[in-house]
Amino acid sequence: MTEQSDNLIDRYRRRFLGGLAASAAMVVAPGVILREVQAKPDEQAASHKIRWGMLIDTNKLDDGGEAMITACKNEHGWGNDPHASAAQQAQWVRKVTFKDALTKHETSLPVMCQHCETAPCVDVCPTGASFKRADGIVLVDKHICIGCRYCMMACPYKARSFVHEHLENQKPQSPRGIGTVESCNLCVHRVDKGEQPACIEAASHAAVFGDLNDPDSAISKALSKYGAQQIRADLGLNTGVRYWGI
Amino acid sequence: MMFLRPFALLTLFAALLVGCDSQPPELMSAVKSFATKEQTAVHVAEMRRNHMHLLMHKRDETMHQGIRTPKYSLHGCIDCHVPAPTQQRVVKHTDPEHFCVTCHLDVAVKVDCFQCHADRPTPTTTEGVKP
Amino acid sequence: MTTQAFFRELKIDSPCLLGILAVLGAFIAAAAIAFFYVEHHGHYVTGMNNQVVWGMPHVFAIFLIVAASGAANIGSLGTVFNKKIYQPLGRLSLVVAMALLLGGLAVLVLDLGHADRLIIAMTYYNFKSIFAWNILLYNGFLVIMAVYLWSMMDRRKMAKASYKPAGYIGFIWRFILTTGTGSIFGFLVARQYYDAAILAPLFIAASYVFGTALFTLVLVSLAKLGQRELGSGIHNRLRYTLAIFIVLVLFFEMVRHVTNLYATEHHGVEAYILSSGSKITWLFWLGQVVLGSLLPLLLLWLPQFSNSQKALLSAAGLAIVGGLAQLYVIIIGGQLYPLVLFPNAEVSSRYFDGVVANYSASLPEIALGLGGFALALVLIVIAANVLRLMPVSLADPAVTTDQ
Repeated sequence: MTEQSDNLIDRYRRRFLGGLAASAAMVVAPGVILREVQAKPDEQAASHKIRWGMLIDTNKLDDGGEAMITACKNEHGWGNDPHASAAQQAQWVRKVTFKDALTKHETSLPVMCQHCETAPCVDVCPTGASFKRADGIVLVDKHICIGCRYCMMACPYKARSFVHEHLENQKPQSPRGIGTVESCNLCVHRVDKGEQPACIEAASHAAVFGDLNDPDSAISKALSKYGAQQIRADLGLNTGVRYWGI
Repeated sequence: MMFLRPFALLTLFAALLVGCDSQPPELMSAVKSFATKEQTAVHVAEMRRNHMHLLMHKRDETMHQGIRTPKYSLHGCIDCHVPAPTQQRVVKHTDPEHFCVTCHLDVAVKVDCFQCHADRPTPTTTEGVKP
Repeated sequence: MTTQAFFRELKIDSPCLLGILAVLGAFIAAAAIAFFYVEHHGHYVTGMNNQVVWGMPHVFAIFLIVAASGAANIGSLGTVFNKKIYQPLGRLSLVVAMALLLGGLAVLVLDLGHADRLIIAMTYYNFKSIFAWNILLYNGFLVIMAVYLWSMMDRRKMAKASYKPAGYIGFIWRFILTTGTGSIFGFLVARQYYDAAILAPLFIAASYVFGTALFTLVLVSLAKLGQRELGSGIHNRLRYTLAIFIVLVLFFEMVRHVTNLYATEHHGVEAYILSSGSKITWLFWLGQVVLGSLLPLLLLWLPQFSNSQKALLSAAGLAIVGGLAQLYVIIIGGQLYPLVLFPNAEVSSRYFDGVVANYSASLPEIALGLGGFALALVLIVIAANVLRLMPVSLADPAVTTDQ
């Protein structure tokens, strides 16, 4: 081969490899740029700079959230406590249907712990077992929960459940036990690993999860563009869970 | 014979102490093990001394601050020390051979960890297991 | 400061005392069995559930705690307001107060999902929670009443010097304590029947009714057991005290309901409580208003009953029944009415949204509640029997009636 044709081959080869690299980067980039939840390093504490929240579009949910509820049940293992009656059964999230008295328009939505900024359940807990983590997730520390159920009286959303019987074979990622109170924890075990809550994964076309304090997150952009509604906004609790279409 | 009475009482007392044994009971062997015997010995000594302290305080850090260092994860302990359930055998915290229960039964100190926490690893096989 | 009345131990007849202790002991044993049964199996064996989280035990517990605060009032009337006729009753009033509080707290603690973690409740405090404050207020009440009682019973100079301060502190502490108990419900924004500042003064007024009624019954019973004379002077003071406080409770309830009826937001819950025809409506009108307030007022005020001990005792008993009905309506009725997530809409779900919930008290719950009552009574009987609490005589010449 002549020197000139060698150079041409090198040039073409470089262009080809460059193009390959560029297309590879374009494939990978969305995962890097659009990744909503960064995994928190294990030894690092949760930060108050982040506030986790959810936006649920009830217009896009054909089943009113049933798929989200099933995903939550499978992730955390609630809903099948053998001895509890229907009214005693745990309900971390439930589908609520309401029909406006005037318009007769019917809407269905999944209702779970709303992770309020000023949560009444956190205020009333005598031992501080019901608490809000620095990143906005409202949790129950079942180690110090004495089972007084005052938080259940205080919650405006009936989001909390009391465990009425001995449980066995719990999911390792979701400890739940007799005599303590529980509720949706925004899948905190997943969030800390950089994953999305189970319900969001089950209904990713209709629900988004992310950092409300980050103006560039998908959820913040959607909220700033279209706004959203809270359940019982009149209470002024500034919930972390917002809805479209209610 | 009055001088015999304290001696008799002491003997009786000593007889009652026969059941006391400062040796810990035989524990079921772990599923995984350390690379060297020295590491195992260090781990055993550290746990015997500190496991209550670690469980009490690391849990608060995990719960309230979200610090999830794998070294202090309860699942880590369970995954290593309790065999995963299989068709033939499931070890629960109500069985005396469960790792944590062996010693706690011996010293009669009730632990309520497993009221909430899973006492066994998730089954690794897809075959159905006895609940 | 004290009258010439002497105090002596009751020294009840042995068979009689054993009989009383056996009956009360049976109730306490039943409560203990109920506690262990619920603790072993879990709360699924009770009638409480995720809609009605506080049930019969809490009705009894809060009744006893509120009554405890009011029972100490007799002592306060003697110390703080210098009403001489009440001063001989001061010791008994404080012991009744402490016993009722202990009974109520026992029921409350034994119903916890994790009663074994009581030490955590005593050591980890969230000071924004009125519940946490109540734990401190209740324990402080016991300490203050104990010091106050000591100041009455011990003859040392230091004890006598502590009498007035302890009396005043006790009086103020009781107000704060009962306000705190009412605020347990008053501070809850979530529920339609709570979230009202008036619950604090309502509970204070109710505490006077329950406390005076229970104290009256205890005083007359102990006097009969110990063959001590009770004059008409004492009867009439208790009669009119009870009547005034019943009127006060009626007033606060009326203000509360009328105010709620003015606000459209509360029409739903008011309709449920006042006119739905449910068990709660019957308990409110028949139990609380008629039997618990109007009928006792008739028995206490009509001239033909003015010297009848039976009328006074019946009125006190009815006031207690009415008080239990009132607390049932507040605690359980308030939970039966659904949370309003979407105003002006028909709401439904598989989890009892938009519908009135169901609750029926189970046997373990009733046993636990009655056991608390029995515990308080046992403590009172034993204390009056071995301590110098009961005056030798409260007949009319023995007590001064000048105010």
